[in-house]
Amino acid sequence: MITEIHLHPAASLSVMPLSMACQGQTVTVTQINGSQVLRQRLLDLGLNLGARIHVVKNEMTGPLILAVKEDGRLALGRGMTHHVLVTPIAAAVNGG
Amino acid sequence: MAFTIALAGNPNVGKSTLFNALTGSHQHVGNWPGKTVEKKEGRLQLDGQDVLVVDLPGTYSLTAYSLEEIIARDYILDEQPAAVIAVVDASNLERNLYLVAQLLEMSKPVIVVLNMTDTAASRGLKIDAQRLGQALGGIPVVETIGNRSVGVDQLKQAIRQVLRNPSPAPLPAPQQRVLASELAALEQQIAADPALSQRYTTRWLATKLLEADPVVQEALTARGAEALLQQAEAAQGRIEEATGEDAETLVVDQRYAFIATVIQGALRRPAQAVLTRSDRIDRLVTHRIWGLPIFLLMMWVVFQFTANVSAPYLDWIDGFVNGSLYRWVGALMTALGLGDSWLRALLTDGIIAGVGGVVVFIPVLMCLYLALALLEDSGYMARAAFVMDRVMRLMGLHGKSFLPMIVGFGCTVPAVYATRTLENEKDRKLTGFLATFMSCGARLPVYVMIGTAFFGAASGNLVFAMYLLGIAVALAVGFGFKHTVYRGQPPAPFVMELPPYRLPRASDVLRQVWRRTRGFVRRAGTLIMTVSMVLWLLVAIPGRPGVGTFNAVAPQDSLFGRMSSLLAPVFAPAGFGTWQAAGSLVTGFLAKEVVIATMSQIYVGDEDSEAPAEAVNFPAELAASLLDFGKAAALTVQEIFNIVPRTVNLLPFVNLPEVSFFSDAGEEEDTSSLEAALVQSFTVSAGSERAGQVAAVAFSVFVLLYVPCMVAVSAMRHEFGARWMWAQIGFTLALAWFAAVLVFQVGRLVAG
Repeated sequence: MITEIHLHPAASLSVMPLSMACQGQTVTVTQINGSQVLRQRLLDLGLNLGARIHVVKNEMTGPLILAVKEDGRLALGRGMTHHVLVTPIAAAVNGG
Repeated sequence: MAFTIALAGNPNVGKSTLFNALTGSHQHVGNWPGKTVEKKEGRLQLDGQDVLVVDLPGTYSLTAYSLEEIIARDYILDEQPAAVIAVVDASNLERNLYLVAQLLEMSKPVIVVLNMTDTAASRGLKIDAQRLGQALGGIPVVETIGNRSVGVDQLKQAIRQVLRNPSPAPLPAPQQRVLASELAALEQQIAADPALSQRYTTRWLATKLLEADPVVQEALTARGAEALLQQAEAAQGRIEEATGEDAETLVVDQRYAFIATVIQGALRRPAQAVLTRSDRIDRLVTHRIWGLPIFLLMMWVVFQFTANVSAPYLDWIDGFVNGSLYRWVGALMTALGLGDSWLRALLTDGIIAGVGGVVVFIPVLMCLYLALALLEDSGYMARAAFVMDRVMRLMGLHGKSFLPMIVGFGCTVPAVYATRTLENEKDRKLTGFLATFMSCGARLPVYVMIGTAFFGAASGNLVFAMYLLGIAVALAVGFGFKHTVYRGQPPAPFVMELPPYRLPRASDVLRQVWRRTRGFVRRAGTLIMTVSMVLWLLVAIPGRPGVGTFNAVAPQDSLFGRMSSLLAPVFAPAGFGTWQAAGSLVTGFLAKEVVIATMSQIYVGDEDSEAPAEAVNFPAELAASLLDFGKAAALTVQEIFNIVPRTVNLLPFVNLPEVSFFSDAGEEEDTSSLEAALVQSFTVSAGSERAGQVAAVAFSVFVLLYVPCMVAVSAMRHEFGARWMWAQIGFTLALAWFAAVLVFQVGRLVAG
């Protein structure tokens, strides 16, 4: 799925799990792994391919808080976010 | 014929508030057939026409992911409502439209309600409702602010129009060519089979087939439509080959692509996406270090509020029911010439005592529900679940499980019902099971009684130890289950919408408090009443011939006393093998606080027999009762003020004075005779005075751990089934017995 990256020329060429994204970073979803049930759930929640996600909170432990589809705030268990691969599209502005 | 309309929407979009605004008080709350998910129905009058409004469970989607989703979509498919109202959070439009896109696939008339437009506006979001409706294919879009009843009339107008002229919303056209042609081919196949096309709308079924929806696949297999399933599988393969994506991902992508075109021009966001005020609060409140202390502080305030604010009312109700009312009925019966009859005894000692047992819970529960409703409506509850997720996972539970646990400190019954918010059945059952170890309000008076009798001023230590022990046992049992019974079954992954913080609205909060309290009184009330009467009967019937007559028999000779004596030896290894202790534990199964009432009745004997002789001055007593009620109200205000100094005083070196409106502390209940009898009885059964104290602790441990109470048990059967209920009863009885024996045997050795 690495071929997807050329869609975002501004991105650095790094693909990482969402769980590793920094607080304050905005990322794009490039791939979703895991069981069918888990994938369906993540898709329903707005983490579809190409979706922009702003990481409101990630303390590298415990659940993450994400701004999905701009306005909603979603808390997602760390376990689920390991299965979502993302590429950053903006540098951290407000890392904490 | 009456029309039916269904309300659909994501959780926490104000669906219930809107439902209340539409139907007013004409509501019926029940369960979905065979399910433990709540079903709310209400009636709406439109131009003299009756419209049935059904509130569907809040869901993010209509896949087969959870029970709620299956219920919602089956209702729309099977019951064919005349229209579906999709309630949408305007401040989170893009995500919320995902459900709307799925509703459109079902070819039903859809009305979109843009709720919480005030929150959206405050965030700088501008939504053009008219353009949104056009982009969605010309369906009506109504803007509302549910908690201020803005836009409800416009919504009724829209419902009127749709009912008059019901036309299904147009289907969104898929943009992806391969997907579009495969969908069309499948739709043709479905349309050719009348049995299928009557049951399902063609687009919906075709979409579900490409999504490989397990429930739909099963239904089609049962109908013998294997050919269609094979075709769907082939179509999936072709799509994957042509696009490099699996069909299911592509279907979802198409919905989001459709939504993206819909909001273009209809939604304007502020130029730069800034962190909202909610985000900034969240960084502190859900912080990995500060989150937990903040949560504990909140819970401390909730407990202070529940315990102290309700206390004056509790005393008042207790005084009124067991004092004034008791005497009034006694006097009335005497005036009727029935002063010494069994009927008077049944009325006063059976029924009024039973009513008293139920109503003393009401102030505590109302305060607890009030505090919880405030936390819920302000948005903090979702954050608390977030913070507690790490802790609850140690027990193999989900972060949301913390709420039933907290409720369990008030009463186990609502705690069991509060497990409904959890997504999977295993989480619900385990949470309900562990919530029974949270020491409920009814167990507290037992510890206090035992504590003051055996340890005097140090009684607080016993009370505190019991609360801690309950939490420790819940942790240990949960941890044990996680590694044995539920090995390899992790709790549902943590997913939660964090609604923006907002000011709770008084009428919503009060409505919730009222609904929940009423539910408790209905469920618990009748049962406790019945059981009190049965108990009264057992104490009144002589246990063998020649020891007395009906309603004139010493407690130890009654049927109740005889039965307790048979049971007593079981508790000998725990140091309290007397018929009195055994008997009070049996009645404690009805309700834990009854333990004390039973003890005072059988240890001290019936001291109320002279009560009816007193002259009753009805007007004076009524006036005194009203005055006491006023006093209780004033004390409430005092206690609310006192939460502040009490909380600040938790810090070392600070000592703020507390407010006190009345100089006297109020009369203490005279229980010294019971205490003396207790100490004497336990000393004898345990062998020495020190051993008696240990036995008293063992007794408290037993009270903490054994079967919560009859009402909680019946709630468990209602929610989790009879098998689980029996498992719970057996497990807790065994656990309580072993723990009590362990405490007594080890304690006796240590204490010497």
